[in-house]
Amino acid sequence: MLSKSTLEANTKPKSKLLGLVALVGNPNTGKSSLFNALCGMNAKVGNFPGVTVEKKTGQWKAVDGSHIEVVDLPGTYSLAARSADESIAVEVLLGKSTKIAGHAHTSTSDVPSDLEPQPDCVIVVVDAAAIERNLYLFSQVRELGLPTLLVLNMWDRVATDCDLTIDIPKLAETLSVPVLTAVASKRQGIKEIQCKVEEMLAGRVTNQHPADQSVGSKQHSSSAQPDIYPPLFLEETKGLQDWLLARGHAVHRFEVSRLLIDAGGPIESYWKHVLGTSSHSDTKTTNVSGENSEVADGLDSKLQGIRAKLKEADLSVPRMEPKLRHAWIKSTIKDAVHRAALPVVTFSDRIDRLLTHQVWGLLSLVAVLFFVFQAVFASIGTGWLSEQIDFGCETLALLVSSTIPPGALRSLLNDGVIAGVGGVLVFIPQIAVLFLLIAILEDCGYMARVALVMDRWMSMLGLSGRAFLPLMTSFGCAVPGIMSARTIASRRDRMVAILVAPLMSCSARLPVYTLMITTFIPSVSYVNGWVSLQGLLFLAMYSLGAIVAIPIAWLLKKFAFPGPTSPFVLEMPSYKWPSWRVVLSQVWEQVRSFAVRAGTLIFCTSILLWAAAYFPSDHREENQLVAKLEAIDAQAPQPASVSTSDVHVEAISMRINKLRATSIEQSFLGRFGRSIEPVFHAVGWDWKIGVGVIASFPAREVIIATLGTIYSLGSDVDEGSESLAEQLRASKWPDGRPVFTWVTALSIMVFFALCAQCAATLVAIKRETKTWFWPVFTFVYMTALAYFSAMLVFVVGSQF
Amino acid sequence: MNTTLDKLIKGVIALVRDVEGEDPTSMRLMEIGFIAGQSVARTGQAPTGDPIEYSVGGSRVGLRKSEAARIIVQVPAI
Repeated sequence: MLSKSTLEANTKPKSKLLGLVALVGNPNTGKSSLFNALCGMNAKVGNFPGVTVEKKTGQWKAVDGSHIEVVDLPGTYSLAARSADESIAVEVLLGKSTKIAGHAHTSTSDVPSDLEPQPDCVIVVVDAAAIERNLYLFSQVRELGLPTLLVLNMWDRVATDCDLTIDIPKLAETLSVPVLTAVASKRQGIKEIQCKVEEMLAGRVTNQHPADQSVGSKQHSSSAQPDIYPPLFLEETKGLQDWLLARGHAVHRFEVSRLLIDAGGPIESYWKHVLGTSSHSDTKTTNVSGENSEVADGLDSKLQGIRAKLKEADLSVPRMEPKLRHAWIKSTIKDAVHRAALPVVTFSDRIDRLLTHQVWGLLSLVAVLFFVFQAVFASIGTGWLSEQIDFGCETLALLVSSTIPPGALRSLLNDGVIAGVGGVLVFIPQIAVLFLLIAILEDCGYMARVALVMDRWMSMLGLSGRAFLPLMTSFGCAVPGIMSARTIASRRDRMVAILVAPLMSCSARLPVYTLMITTFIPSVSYVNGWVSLQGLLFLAMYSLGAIVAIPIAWLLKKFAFPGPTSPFVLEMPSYKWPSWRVVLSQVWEQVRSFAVRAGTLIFCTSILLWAAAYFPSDHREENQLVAKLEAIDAQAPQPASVSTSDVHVEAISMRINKLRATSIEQSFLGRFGRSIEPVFHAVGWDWKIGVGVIASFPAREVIIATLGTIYSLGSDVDEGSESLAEQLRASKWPDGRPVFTWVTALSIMVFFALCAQCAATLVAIKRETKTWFWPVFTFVYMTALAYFSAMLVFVVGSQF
Repeated sequence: MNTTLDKLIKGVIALVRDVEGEDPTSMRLMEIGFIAGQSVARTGQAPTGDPIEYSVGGSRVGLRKSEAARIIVQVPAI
C-alpha cells in the first residue's frame, strides 16, 4: 500500500545520477516547501522552528534524463554542532553521515561504503526578509568549499516591503555564488533553481581543481575567497590539520575549525574517541596499546594550547566566531542590502499584540483549541465520506454473503476483514479535519506564539515552551511528536517530553472516544445548543492525558532527571496566510499513513483476532442453520405472505445466536479472556472488552475492529447490518444487566487515554533514547496508570 | 546608559553591547542576531510577561527574562 512517491523514493532509478544536492537553511525559511517543490514529494512542512527533524531525500529529473538527488537537512541556525540536528547537518555536509539516518557512528573502523557521499552541491535557503541573520549559516557553509547556491526564499515579502531592498546581482557578486529568488510555497522560481543546479553540477566536472590544499575530494574554487578568520586562526587550524594528518587522519579544514571552536562539543569528543579508542577496543587493534591514548591526550593538550594562544590574541573561542561572522556579513552585504535603520512595527507585530495579550491572548488560545475539538467532533460519523465508507463496507459484506456459502471463509471476510478494517476507515474524516486545523495553525505561524504563551506554564513543569510542539503534535500522533522532540536542545527537557508525549490524546484514541461517547453519552446541549455534553466530555477526554502529564513530568524532572531549568530562545516567524499546498500535503500524509496502518497492521491483527475468536469451536451446525435461513429468505421475497415461517425463522435465529455465543466463548480468545476475567471485573469490563483491550496493545485503534469482530460473531443474523453501537448497547451480563453503562464507557475511555497501546510509539522512544529501558519504562508506567485510573473511575462511578 | 535587555521597556530602541557567557545559550543568542551593534526593541510578551518577544535584525525572537538578562544593551539617554 505504498504511495507512488514512496515507491519512487525507494526504488533505484535507472537514469544516471547527475549529483547529490544538500538543502540547508535556518528554521522557518520554507526549506521544506522548497524541498517539496523541487522533488514533488510529500514532506511535513511547518512554520515552527525545527519541524524538519528527519533527514529526507528526494529527487528530480534533469532535462537530459539524468536525475538529481536532494537531501533535506534539519533546519539549523548554525553549523556549530551542539544539538542533534546541527550534528546531523555537519555530518552530511562533510560526507561523514552513515547511510542509516539516526545511527550514531561511534565506530572507528571507517568503512567507506557505510557513509553517504559528500554532497556535490549545496543549496542554502534563506528567509529573504531576515537575510542578515540567515547569512550566518551561509558563511559557514561556504567554508566547506562546495559549489553553493543561495536561494532567497519568501521573496514576495521583500518585493512588497519598502523597508528592505536587496540588489541580487550585487549580492551574487560580493558573495561570489549564484543567487536566485523564490516563493517556494507558491512554486515560484523552482524551475530556475533546478536549471541552475543542473548547470552547476554539469560544470563541476570540467571546473574541478584537482589539487586543493585542503582535504576533501570535492573542493571548489570559492575557498579562494577572503577568509572570515584572521591569519592567526588560519595558521593554527592548518597546524592542527597537519598534526592530525601526521597521525593518519586526513580531516577537512572546516571540521578542524569546528574542532577548535566548539570546545567540549560532539566533534571534539568524536576525535578524542577516535584517537583514543583503539587502545580500548579489543581484538581489532594492531597498534601498541597506550600509544593511542597518548595521541588522545596529545589532542587535548594541543587544543588547550591553541585555545589559550587564541585567547591571548583576543580571539577566545567560541565567542570570536559569531563576532567575526556578523562582521563579515555586515561588510559583505553593505552595498547589496539596504534596510530601514529602525525596527519597524509590522502587521505581524500588531496581530501579535492581540494574540499574546494578557487577556485576549489566553482567550484566543482557549477558543482556538475548543474550536479544533468541536470541529473534529462535528465531523464524526456525519460526514459524506464516513457515510460512503460505511455504505461501501455494507455493500461489500452483502456481496460476500451472496457469493460465498456460510463457513470459515465468509466469516473471515465479513467478520474479520471488512468489519475490522472498515470500522477503522470510517474515522478518516475526523483525522483529516484535525490535521487540517493543526497544519493551518502551524503554517500560519500561530504555533510559535502558542509556545511563547505556554512557556511560563510549561516551565512550571520544568519544561520549556518548545516542548509544547512535540506534545501538541502528539495529539495527532506520538510518533512524529517524539521525533520532533529532537529539536529540544536540553537533554532533560527532551527526555521528559518524549516520556510524557504518549500520554497526549493521539488520533488513534479518537475512534474509541467517538464510539463510547456517541453510544453511551446522551446528546444533551446547553446554551442554545452551543455547548453539547458530548462535546464537553470529548474535550475532557482529550485533556485528561495532558493533565495527567503535569504531575508525571514533575516527578520525572524531580527524580529521573534532576537539574536546572533549560533556556528558551525561540524565533517567532511572521504571520502569513497558510499555503494550501503545504497544509493539504500534511493532511494527505497523515490520512495516508493512517489508511496504510489500517490496511497493514490492523488488517493482520483483524485476521489473527478473527482466527483466535473463530477456532477451535465447531461451526457446522451454525453454518447449516445460516444456509437454511438464507434459503428461506430467498424463497419468500414477500415478507407479509407467510406467518408460519416467521416463527420458524425466529427459532432458527435464536438457535444460531446461542451457537455463536458458545462458540466464541469456547474459542482460544474466549478461553483466555475468561481465564483472567477477574482482572477485567475490577475495572467494570466483561471478558469481551478485556480481550479487545489486550488485542489492541500493538495499536490502540484495533479495539474498534476487535469489538466489531467479537460482537458481530456473537450477534443475531438480523442485526448483521446494524452498527457496532447497537450491538454494544444490546450486550448483557449473564444476570441481564447491560454490560455497557456510562461508567463502563468512561472506564474504557480513561484506560485508553492513559495506556501505552502503540508499538510504533515504543519503537520511536527506543530510537530516540537509544536504549530499550525507556520504552519499557513508558509501557509499564502508562499501563499501570491506565489500569488503576480505570479502576478508580469504575469504583467511584458505580456509587451513582 | 547600559542596562540588560529584560529591563528594556516598549517603544525604546536599544543597541546590543554584549552577550555575557559562552555557553550554548549565549552562543545561540549571538548566532540568532544579538550581536554588538544590532538595534533591538521589545515587540511583545506572553500573557504572564515572560517570555518577552524582541525584534532584532529583521526577525522576532522570544526570550525568557533570564536569557534576556544576559544581553547588555545601550539605551539612548533621555
